[in-house]
Amino acid sequence: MTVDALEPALAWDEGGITRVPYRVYEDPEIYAREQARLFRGPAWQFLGFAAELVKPGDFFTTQLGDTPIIVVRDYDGAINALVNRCPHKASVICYEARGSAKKLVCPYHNWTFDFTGALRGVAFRTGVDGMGGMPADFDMAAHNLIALKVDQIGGLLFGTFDHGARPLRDFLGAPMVANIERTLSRPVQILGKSTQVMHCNWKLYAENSRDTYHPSLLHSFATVFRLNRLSMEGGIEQDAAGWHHLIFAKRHIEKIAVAEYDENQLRSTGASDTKLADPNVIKGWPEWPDGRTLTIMTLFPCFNLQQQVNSLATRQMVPLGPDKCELRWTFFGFVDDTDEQRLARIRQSNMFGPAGYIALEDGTVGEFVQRAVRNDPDGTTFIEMGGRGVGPSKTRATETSVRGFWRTWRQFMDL
Amino acid sequence: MSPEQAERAIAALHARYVEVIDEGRLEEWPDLFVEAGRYEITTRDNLANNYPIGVVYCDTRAMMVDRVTAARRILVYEPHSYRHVGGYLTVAPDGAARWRASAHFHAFRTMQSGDFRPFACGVFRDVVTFASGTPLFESRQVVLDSANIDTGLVIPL
Repeated sequence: MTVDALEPALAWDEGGITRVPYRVYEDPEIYAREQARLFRGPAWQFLGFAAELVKPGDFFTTQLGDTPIIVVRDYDGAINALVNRCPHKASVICYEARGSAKKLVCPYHNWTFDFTGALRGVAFRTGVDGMGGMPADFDMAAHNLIALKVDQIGGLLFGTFDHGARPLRDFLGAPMVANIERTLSRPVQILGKSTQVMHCNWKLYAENSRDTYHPSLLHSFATVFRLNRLSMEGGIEQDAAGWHHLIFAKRHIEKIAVAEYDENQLRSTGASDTKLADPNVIKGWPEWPDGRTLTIMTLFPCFNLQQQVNSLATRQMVPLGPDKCELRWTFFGFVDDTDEQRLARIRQSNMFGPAGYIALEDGTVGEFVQRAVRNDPDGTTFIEMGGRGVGPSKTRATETSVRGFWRTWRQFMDL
Repeated sequence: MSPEQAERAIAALHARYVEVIDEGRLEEWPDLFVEAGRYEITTRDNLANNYPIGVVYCDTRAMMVDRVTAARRILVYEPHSYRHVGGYLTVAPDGAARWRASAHFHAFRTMQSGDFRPFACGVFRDVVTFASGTPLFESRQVVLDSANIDTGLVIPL
């Protein structure tokens, strides 16, 4: 990886991961570098669900960072991911969110591609009436769509731009692979989609979803109704490199008393006498034999797979410039769910997505930070809860995974 | 009840609905529904794909009461209000003392900073009952044209 200078250089503290310069949240130069080194780089990124591509020719479009992507099922059943950009005049080829096609045809000049991205047809290639047309040395094979390397685990599709990247399972590490396979062990049924538009840098959400310190403090709903408290049995798993992490908790195991929750020190305790008029919103059933009622897995750079009670969802982050991003939610269940189980997932979904009792606060707080750091590039955040290092943890009263994010970001960004 | 009478009564229900939300009298909002009433916010796309999860799902009036409690006592969000604009009301009978209705709407959101902008547009799909004498919603399905929600949705549409 070549080292391009960033002027002025970012100033980090000695350990390099406990003080984050505000500048990383608003600098267009850093944003452009992230596009090249993360989103078009060697990281495997979430593309979507294989279950959404039933038959050959089924496609959907998405984005990895700013780059438009087509994901399509080929005639042999393989799933391919292609940059959605014609090599001729750079128009997007698929302009619909999803559909089914026989081949890929650019709307602009009708260049035609097969589902591997190979150029198969150029309109008027030999000209008309012996005039015009492409030069004699025109080489069809030199104008294919850019294809990504694609793999899947548990029906979740991932892609990377780097064909030399290490295999997906190595990139994720054993604990993350095990969590995906544990959570998606049966055929998936998509239950719904929504998008949360956030007025903050994408990394503020990447940090938020790794931050095990905030949930019971910011999200009073989770605390008041005992869905997630730091006093519950739980912990943090990480891959060996510390790139990704998994928070888990067991809500029925709360053996220790934590003074802060009981002594009216927290905002949430002001509402501690609140009762739900209809507790069905949080009612679930024990679904996994490991007893985990909450698992939130965050993969670098920014993808989440969540199980909160029985509400299952993926969250795909799409950056939209230094100070804006979109979080695309896909809720799912399983094809063999009973009607009661499906209804429980639907009711619990009230906690998540853009109107979620828990999730909407994450969209709000990212903007609160963005607003406060504006045009103060040299200020820094302070991230020392649970020490100054990175690693798995038996307690969630720590910011170990946030530090893990910054260490990983610095490695990929070479900054 | 004639279609004209039903249309007048449902238009008045819609006006009251918009008034309690836009004027911040959220506690009165669930009272516009029957006890087993349903309130749902979803998107065009979710409906087209038969996806049951949208943005908000309440299948009892009590769940709506909880939405109000959360907005008042639990959630962290920047204070804001809506201004609904609506029209194109249609009504059609659906059995005794029950009518189906639909109306288009647009909601602007004004933040405490003064920032105001379009927040949502779509259609209300309602089932209204006159069984108790006064019209009440048996169900209101809010179908948003866009799946994109800016920052977060706290107050019902």
